[in-house]
Amino acid sequence: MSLMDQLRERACAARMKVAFPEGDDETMMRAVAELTEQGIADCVLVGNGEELRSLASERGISLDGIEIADITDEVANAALAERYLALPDCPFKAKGVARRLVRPMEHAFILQALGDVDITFAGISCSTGDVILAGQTIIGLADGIDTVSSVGIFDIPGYEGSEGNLLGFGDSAVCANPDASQLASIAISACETVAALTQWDPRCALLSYSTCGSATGELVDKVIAARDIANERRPDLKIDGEFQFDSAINPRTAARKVPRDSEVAGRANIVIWPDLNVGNVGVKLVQQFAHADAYGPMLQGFKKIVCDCSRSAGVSEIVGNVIMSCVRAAVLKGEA
Amino acid sequence: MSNQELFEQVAGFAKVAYGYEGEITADTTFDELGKGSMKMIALTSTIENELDAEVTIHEVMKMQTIGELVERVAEEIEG
Repeated sequence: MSLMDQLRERACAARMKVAFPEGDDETMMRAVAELTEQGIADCVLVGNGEELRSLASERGISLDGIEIADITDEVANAALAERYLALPDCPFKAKGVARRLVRPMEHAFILQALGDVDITFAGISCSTGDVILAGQTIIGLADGIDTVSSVGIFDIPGYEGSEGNLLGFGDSAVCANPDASQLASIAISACETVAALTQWDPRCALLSYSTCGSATGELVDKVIAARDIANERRPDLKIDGEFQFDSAINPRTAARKVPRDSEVAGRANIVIWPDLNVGNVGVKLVQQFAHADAYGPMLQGFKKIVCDCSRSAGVSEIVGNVIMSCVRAAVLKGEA
Repeated sequence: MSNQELFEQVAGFAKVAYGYEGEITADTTFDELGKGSMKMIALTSTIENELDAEVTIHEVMKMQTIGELVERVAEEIEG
């Protein structure tokens, strides 16, 4: 059974509630209808209720079983505002909350902050930056994490690593030039995300052009500092480095190049690029030369699960992304 | 509120949001204040809550200095 098939089963077994603030987009609305029909998630379309119903009717899409959170419902908004303002970490006063409740994406995030939904899913008609900023503002970052980042899982034909064809990687999409503390955050978040999805024991390698001091310089120092910060913040996780890519994933190379005990070297199942230049180039190399597919990238680092998709995503890609988000949310809630 | 009073208020908010202990002038850059979008979010939230002026984080990310931010806040208050 493929990883996605396993995830689909797990998502259906612990149904999460997902808010979609871009239901006016036809592709997104069709994806929501499919998720509902297949029993994968409980879906909430957030927007102008009348407009959403009219669009669904024009498109011939059934909204049976789909909840609508109507941003024009003043009574419902007033009740939400009262509850949201009562949260100890609500960053706004009453006017600011009222302003946000009539905007679909921020309304969705407020529902999530209140626990009325488990996931907010957007990105087909707004940028990743918009999703991240609204998510950071209303949901906030997870404890011990100081940046939002992304993680993905390669499926590489012919690769025989410690988890078969699969290898986790981060961050290749969000945090351009992480400092040591942010790099540690990326590694910690990646361990959490990949473990939730795969149920692996994460072994996370911080990559560099140096292995255990074989080279020196400020770029190497940053990776070493990140390892120390990650180990201090989360001693329960296996995060190690600095390793070159081959030292991280190849046991023979690790045996030659890593002169100390390591639970990660040579058998890493997650690799962390030192910055976005490397991350982007690395992903393209693996895709072009090894013809790999990738699950993700998925946003990570928030207190709750926030997910975006590319603006060109089709229905099946959105469904896949929601499935992964649902499994992550269920694990976060201790329900999977 | 005079421009100077507005500047002093915004500079005070920025000091708290960024945990910045130096003197802030109109030419102080966001780079000097420090990295971190959460700090920028704290600053814009405070401006919105205290001055009822919503300046988006996207706008602030395109600004170089505190002076630019104060000008934008003034526009929002007047508008």
